[in-house]
Amino acid sequence: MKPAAGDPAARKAPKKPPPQTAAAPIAAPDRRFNPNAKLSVSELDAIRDQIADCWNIPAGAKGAEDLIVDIFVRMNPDGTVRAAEVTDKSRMRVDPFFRTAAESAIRALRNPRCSPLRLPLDKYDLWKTFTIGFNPRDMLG
Amino acid sequence: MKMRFWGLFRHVALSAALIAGVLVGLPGERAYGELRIDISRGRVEPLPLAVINFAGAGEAARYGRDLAQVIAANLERSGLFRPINQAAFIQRELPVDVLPRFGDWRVINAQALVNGSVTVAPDGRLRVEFRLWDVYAEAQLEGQSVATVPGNWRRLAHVISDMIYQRLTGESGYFDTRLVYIAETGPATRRVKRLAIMDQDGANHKFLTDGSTLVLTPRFSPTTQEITYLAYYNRRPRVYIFNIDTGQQEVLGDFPGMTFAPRFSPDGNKVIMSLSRNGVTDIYTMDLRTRAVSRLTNSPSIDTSPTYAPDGRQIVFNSDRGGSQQLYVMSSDGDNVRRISFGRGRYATPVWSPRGDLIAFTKIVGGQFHIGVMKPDGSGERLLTSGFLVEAPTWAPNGRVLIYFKQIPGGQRGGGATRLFSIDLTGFNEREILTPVDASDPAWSPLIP
Repeated sequence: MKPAAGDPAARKAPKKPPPQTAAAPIAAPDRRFNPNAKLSVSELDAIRDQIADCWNIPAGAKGAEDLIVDIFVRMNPDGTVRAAEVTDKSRMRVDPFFRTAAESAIRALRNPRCSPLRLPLDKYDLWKTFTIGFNPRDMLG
Repeated sequence: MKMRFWGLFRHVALSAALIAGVLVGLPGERAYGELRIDISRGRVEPLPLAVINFAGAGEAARYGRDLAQVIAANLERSGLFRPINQAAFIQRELPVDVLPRFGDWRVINAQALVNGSVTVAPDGRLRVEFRLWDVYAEAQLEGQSVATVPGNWRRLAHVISDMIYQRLTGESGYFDTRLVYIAETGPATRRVKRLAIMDQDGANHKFLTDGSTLVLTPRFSPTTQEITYLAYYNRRPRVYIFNIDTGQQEVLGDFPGMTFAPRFSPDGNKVIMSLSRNGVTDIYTMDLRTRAVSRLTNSPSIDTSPTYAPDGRQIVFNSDRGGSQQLYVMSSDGDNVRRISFGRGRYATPVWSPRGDLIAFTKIVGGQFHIGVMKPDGSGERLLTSGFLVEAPTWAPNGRVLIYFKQIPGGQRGGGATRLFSIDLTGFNEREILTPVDASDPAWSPLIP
């Protein structure tokens, strides 16, 4: 069925980037930037698999299943990690189990097997920075 | 006055607004960081780590090698670390005042690195400095200096192992500890049972009793170098206390019935045990200072194997009051008794973990013995190991590892060897603890003060 003009679905569909006006000084178009692009499910799966292979989970610690660590990552365009920091720094100072879990997460990101991360280099703007959550619950619960 | 107060208030309010502004402003870069990736899988494998022989000159070099060997062996036995063979090392020597060449360690896949230096002081004491490094982060995680008399070098290795373990796992270690157990020799019909003690790695083994009386169920005091145990006297079991330092033993009291399963309270001031009189077995405590005895249970059933929670507020024990032998928890005054085990089979020898989160037990079901753990409310039961006869779990002081004994079915003459084994709380890494003779009823000491 062809949507009639004025159908909300039809209005939503053509969501292309705004055309560049002639006034904008364009050198080479930045191929890395496409605001509509998203990482595909298979691209996300690939990076999850890669990091899972580098992550040694802190099994057996007291309450290990609750040691969920978020790391804020800044990336280089070649897929190597430029900086990785634990978002919950205050817990890191007071909870030695959390500190251990956080250090294991950061080691995963610095593991040579995870450098560079297998990310689509043409979508750098999407993964220039991201948050990665390490959650051992499924493996330990 | 009012104005000043308002001024102060305004100042605080302004600061709050500024902080809020900073907070709102912060995610500028993170606005792009809307991508979130969740990792819910990982590997459970030992952390590869390198322990370099500690540097030293002459006699100190020998201590340096021995220290590195004992440290690597301790960490390896924990199952959490995999020491890398020294033959693979590219940087062969690394005194503590030299920065590691991290690239050389990354190449051989070492994630952590331990190095040290040993010197023999003019007074003969050994002085050891060591460092622990995170190879990927290229950062020092730990650096300490410790000293002792040369005869004590193994303890020094255990203390350093504990510091490394603690820094890398977040939990205190358990290497500077000892085990007592019942050493068994002779044929099944005339078994000689002696109290024996050794370091957790099997070194410094010695017998504490001569075998002339039957001894059972040794348990460490949590606060002193004392052991409580049962010994038969005139064919009746009595509770004794043995002082490891002085070698002295004393009987804890002459009770009208038979006493069983003595164990210290967490503060070391009481012994809790069961006492059997007229076919009824109940749980009692004895205050070690006043020798006053209190009765905690009063039922026509058999209540035995009591153990305190580490905070001393609750007690777990087993009882057949419900028809079969199950685990029960009660307050330390004997009130509020509730059953916590409901699975098939019988449950015995409960032991509360020193970190409080779990109770280990022996479970007998379908002719098989199992060692398992459950939460103190009875939920989350997990069986860690099974066998023809596995029994009597005892916790490492950090609540992470259990030691128990296992009988390996013998040949035609029956019996078979009994041996000590350890297992990690996750159910991995089951290992035999070597003893010179057959062994049963192990008990793990707290960290040596």
